[in-house]
Amino acid sequence: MTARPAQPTTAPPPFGAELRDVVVRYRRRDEAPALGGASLTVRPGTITGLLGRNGAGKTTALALLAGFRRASAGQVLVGPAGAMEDPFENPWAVMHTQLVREGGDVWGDDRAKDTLAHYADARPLWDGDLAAGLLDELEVDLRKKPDEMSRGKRSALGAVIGLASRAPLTIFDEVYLGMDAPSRYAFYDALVADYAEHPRTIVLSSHLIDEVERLFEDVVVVDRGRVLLAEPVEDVRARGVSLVGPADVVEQFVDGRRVLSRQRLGGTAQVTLFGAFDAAQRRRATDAGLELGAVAVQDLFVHLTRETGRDREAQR
Amino acid sequence: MTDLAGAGGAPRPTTEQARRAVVAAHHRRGVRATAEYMVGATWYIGVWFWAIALAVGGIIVAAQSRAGDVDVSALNGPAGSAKFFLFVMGIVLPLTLVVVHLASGGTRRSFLHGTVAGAAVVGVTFGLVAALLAWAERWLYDRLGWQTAWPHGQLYDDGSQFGLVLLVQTVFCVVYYLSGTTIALGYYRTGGWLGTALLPLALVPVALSELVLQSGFFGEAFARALGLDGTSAWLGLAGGVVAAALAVVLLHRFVRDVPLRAVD
Amino acid sequence: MFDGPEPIYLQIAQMIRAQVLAGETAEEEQVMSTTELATTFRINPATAAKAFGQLVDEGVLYKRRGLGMFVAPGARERLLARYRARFFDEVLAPALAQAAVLDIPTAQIVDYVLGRDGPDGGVDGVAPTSGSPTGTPV
Repeated sequence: MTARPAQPTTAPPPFGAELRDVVVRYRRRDEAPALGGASLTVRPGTITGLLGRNGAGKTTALALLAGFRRASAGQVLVGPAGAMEDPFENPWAVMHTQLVREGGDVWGDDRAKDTLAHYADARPLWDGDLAAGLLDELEVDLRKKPDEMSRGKRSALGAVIGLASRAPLTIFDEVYLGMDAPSRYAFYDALVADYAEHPRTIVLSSHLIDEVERLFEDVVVVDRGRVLLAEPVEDVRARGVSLVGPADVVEQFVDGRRVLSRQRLGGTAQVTLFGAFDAAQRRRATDAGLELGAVAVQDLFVHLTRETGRDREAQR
Repeated sequence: MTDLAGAGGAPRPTTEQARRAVVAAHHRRGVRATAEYMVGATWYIGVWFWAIALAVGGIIVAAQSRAGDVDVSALNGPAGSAKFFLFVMGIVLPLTLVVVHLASGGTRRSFLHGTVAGAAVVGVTFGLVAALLAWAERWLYDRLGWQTAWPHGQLYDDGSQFGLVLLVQTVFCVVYYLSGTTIALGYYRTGGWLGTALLPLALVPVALSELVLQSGFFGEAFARALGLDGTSAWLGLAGGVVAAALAVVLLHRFVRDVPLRAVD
Repeated sequence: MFDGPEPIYLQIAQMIRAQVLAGETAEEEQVMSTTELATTFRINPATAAKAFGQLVDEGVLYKRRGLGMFVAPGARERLLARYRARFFDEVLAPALAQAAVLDIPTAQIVDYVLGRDGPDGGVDGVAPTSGSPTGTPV
């Protein structure tokens, strides 16, 4: 395992990823395809968050990027900027793309060290020291079989495989499942630290948006097989604002905007508004004695995905 | 940051060349890893198979000599069942491997090549053990003056035809192993109903090998019915190679674009 | 931490400015690296780098190749000058405008300011809470 044939181990530049009008049907005459014309771009070198409700199509989209399956229609591209290619059965693309799925794609019946040795051999940029340090920190016992591990430890094993592979496109699909809070934060810290030193593209799908939104540079929201938005997280945060202050003043600033939430305590009100709030409006609001706050990506996400659900029902 | 472009350093190969070299090395590694896994895991359990085959053979010999008359080969049956053992291993092994192989950046192509290479190594080594055991048994029987005729049902008459036993058993082992793998992947990609429907297709190479090698009661009867019972051993072996090639073609059809199933 | 409405990188930049202003980080002293900043606050390193970029542009920080980020000589003075200049426009002017609306005579304001300066001056709880140097940059 340690002795490896001499080979070029220069890391390629970070990979970007793109879906263009992608359709995936698991059955030929599926009325609700897993992806129904999804288009998105993951910028190379970013940490991109992929958000979506259960069954929205996140996992399918990620499986396409890693070449795990093929799209029924549309184009799938990964690779360095300007040199993107279809990853399906493309050795160059898949050797540099690591998708970690729930359960980790490991040999459940053999000791974890066998799986780790396999990945170490298969991944050209594998960092054994990083893996060893992380396994130690997350308290994963390599002598154990993954099938005998707790869900959290098994997830941690997958997380370590993902980070140590150092793939120019590294994707974590809800890797945190079953991990306790200290383990999750240890993973986030390791992710940020290693990403800072070894720039690459990381896609992270998660339901724990509050925990991870600060890690993102870009955010992609998928809903019912379509992409609702794909943009820098700062733009997402700028899609809304929260205002706190005297209720009557606050209400003046609502001004026909969509209210995501409204709370009142005596004469004080807090509202979360959907819609951009430009510098001049901010100024006026502060001058009027209001306190401005950011809107959590979580709140906007809930709002956006609930919205489309209503639209669909309205159409019926 | 280190200077990744290597500007000003020694002349480097063009990126296109470098990429081709990296991809080729990666393919070789994937093939090797797959073949090693297949061979290693098969032999890990295969050792027990041969140990049991030897033990059963020993019991048969002991029983016969106690009855006073050794007149049947003791090892022909157990050793001849190696192909069935490999059929089962072919079904069991690839599914655990294909997922990890693809998830670690391998291609279906390198998985296929590795599986075929692994099947070849397993086939030859199992064929070799079968031939060695048959030869050793013949030698032992001759030493002890036991005159036994091997039961009909193979191209060879007895273990003294070492080369022929080796070739016939190798062909069987490869064909059965690959057909088992094809069946497993058929079920993996199409599910229970279609997988079962595809079963006969996956078994065509097995049937073909039994026919051309005129193996066993059914193989012989089948060959006779088609008028193939007079063909030479070499022609039969050539047919066996065709059966193995057919098994590879079928496996390729099943593997080349197999999607990884979603995790439940 | 960093819950304001501005982009996080602006809030980080503001935090570092405040540290320099308060003298917590001396001139020529090294500040956290991008990686340290990112891991400490669990934020995207690009966000941290953007904050540093802004501060370098402003002359608050400078980069020593291979060593990291340092507080620029004269950074505190520059920041003080900037915030002093802004103080009248952004803090005092709106307050006086508000006073005019409320019909508070200038003399009363002057008295208040002078009273605060005295040893026992100031009225508890009336001291301005906003308008600190860490308030709202533009």
